[in-house]
Amino acid sequence: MLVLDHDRAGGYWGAVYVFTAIKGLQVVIDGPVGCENLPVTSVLHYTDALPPHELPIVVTGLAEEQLGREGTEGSMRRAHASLDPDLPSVVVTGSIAEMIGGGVTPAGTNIQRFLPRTIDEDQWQCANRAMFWLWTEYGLKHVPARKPACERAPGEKPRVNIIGPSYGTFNCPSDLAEIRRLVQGIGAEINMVFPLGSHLADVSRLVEADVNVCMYREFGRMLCEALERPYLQAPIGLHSTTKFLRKLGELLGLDPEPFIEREKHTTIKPIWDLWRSVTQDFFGTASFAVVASETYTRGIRHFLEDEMGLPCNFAISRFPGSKTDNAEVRRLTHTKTPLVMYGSYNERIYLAECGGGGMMKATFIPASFPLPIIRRHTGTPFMGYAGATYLIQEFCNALFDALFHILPLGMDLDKIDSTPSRVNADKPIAWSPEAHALLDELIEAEPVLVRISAAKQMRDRAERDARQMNRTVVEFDRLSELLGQARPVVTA
Amino acid sequence: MGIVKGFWGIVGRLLIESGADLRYVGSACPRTAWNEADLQWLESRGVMVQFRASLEQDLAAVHEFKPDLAIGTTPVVQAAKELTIPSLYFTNLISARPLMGPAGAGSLATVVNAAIGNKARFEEMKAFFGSAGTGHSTGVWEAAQGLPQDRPEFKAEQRRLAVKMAKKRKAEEMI
Repeated sequence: MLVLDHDRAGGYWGAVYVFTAIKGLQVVIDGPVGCENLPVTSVLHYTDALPPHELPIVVTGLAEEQLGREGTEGSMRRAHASLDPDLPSVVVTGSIAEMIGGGVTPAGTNIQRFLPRTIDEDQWQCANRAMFWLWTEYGLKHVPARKPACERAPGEKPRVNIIGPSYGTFNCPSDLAEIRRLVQGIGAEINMVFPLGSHLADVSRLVEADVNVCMYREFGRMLCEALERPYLQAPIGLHSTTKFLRKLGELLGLDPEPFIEREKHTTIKPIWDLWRSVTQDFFGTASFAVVASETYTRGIRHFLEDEMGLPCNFAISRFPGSKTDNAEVRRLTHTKTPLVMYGSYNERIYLAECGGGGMMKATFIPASFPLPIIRRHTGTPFMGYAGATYLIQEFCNALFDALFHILPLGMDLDKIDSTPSRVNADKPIAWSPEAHALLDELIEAEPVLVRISAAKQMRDRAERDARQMNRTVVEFDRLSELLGQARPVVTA
Repeated sequence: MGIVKGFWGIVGRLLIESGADLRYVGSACPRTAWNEADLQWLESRGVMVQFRASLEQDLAAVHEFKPDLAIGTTPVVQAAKELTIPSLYFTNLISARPLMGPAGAGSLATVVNAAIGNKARFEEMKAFFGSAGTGHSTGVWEAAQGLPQDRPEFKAEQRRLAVKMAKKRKAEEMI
């Protein structure tokens, strides 16, 4: 089977998400109406849940005549006429307009052109350039040197930018709220969140920050480099967040320890409590896998495997500019099925294809676009302390879910014969050594969490079958007919 | 009620036969011999039919007729909801169900009545949210940023620059 599943969009989608997120800028998509339908309707209207009139975006709606004869300039003039003439606009070209050299801006308008190179670049590469482009167009030509902490006026807080939040980004509101909370928690001030919610009039103020926090590894770094300030990647995980806060405190001349101390008793107390609970017993054997953006894959794997000690079956990062081998992801999902799968719609499909493996039903936890999911509420962070607590809490809930699926319902218990008792059995059933070995293999393939229940179900089924067939021994052939071959046990 | 897009012939007739006061039907299709009968039937009942309808024509009809229910494409639905008019996305809720036979009309009535029944809720929501999400306050905002602020000085500056640029271009043209 040929697996062609996409896990990201083309260049101009990234540009659209960056340019629509900043206030005061209008966006013209140069392309057929479908070029607007996809990023705007499927992501901005559905998963970002924004009503159309809240997005300053129009499409030229190219048709055959423009492609073959007229060019796109007239269509662009028409599209621009429907926008606010006093606000600047940027035109982004879809692949079709790029192929015919479209995106030419009409003279005498305040339309600027941004070339997404949507055929060559993916959404993250393009978003990275688009953020930098905003700085080159509306920022400063020369970046003034950073004011040393000792020259700061008494009572004046050091300032931090958060670079990267934009539309069309999975879980952005929750992660942004948490990073903001951390920065403010240690006593710094947020200078700007960029581009989301910032105004074009303020782009030059980006230099007023002492330190930048780059939210994602996929985009935003080009701008962080240009701003000539130290920058830190936003953290995922418990100890990673502590390190982040200490480093940020050091760069800003602030003491983060009082905040960290407070957090130990509040935000991250659940991690400490769960760590000392019996649920933690299962951490060593309850496996997970993650396929997501590099930011999330690195972060989730590091937190769950290195910090919490959960076995990672596989962790695959989607990198900007390179295609993920989704056939391999599918193969891994089928052969190294984890108990908990973090991923996108693709991984959800691969997981459904293999039925979750054995008797266990694997839990899918959304961790990446593409996925039909709304994440506007700020209560589902993956980053920072709140994110660490949320991640481990939901992992534990996935374990409870796995138990729910393996335990029979009372209704089902009534439907089958009662459990055969060994004491009163007129004919004790023996097991051939080969059959016993197969049973052991099958049990071995089940996750430790559900192994006792699975073993009991398999043994009862084989013995009940033997009785019905008037046999005294469970034989290998019949057992493999009943329960199938053991899947090879793979470890990461 | 009634702005309809899509398999307008069938849905329009079904709606009228189910007792709806249908005012407008817009279709992306051109007028052909094959839809002449449907056109005559609808027009004889006072329904305005627009072939090759654009989004603007559909929206104009929503503004003109202010129906109790608008059935249309995503942008028509979202514009109508903005005007506190209950509406349904044709593809999700109308064309996705069997329309022929008594069960078809029956299921349509459930969906249509449930949507129309939301009118009071639409008004209460609109009264509560007021101008949130309009003008300069559109889009996503963080609570920490406080109330969205308008930036009239930015627009004024942009206008000044545009005028300056136009003058410069004019001067260059003369040379």
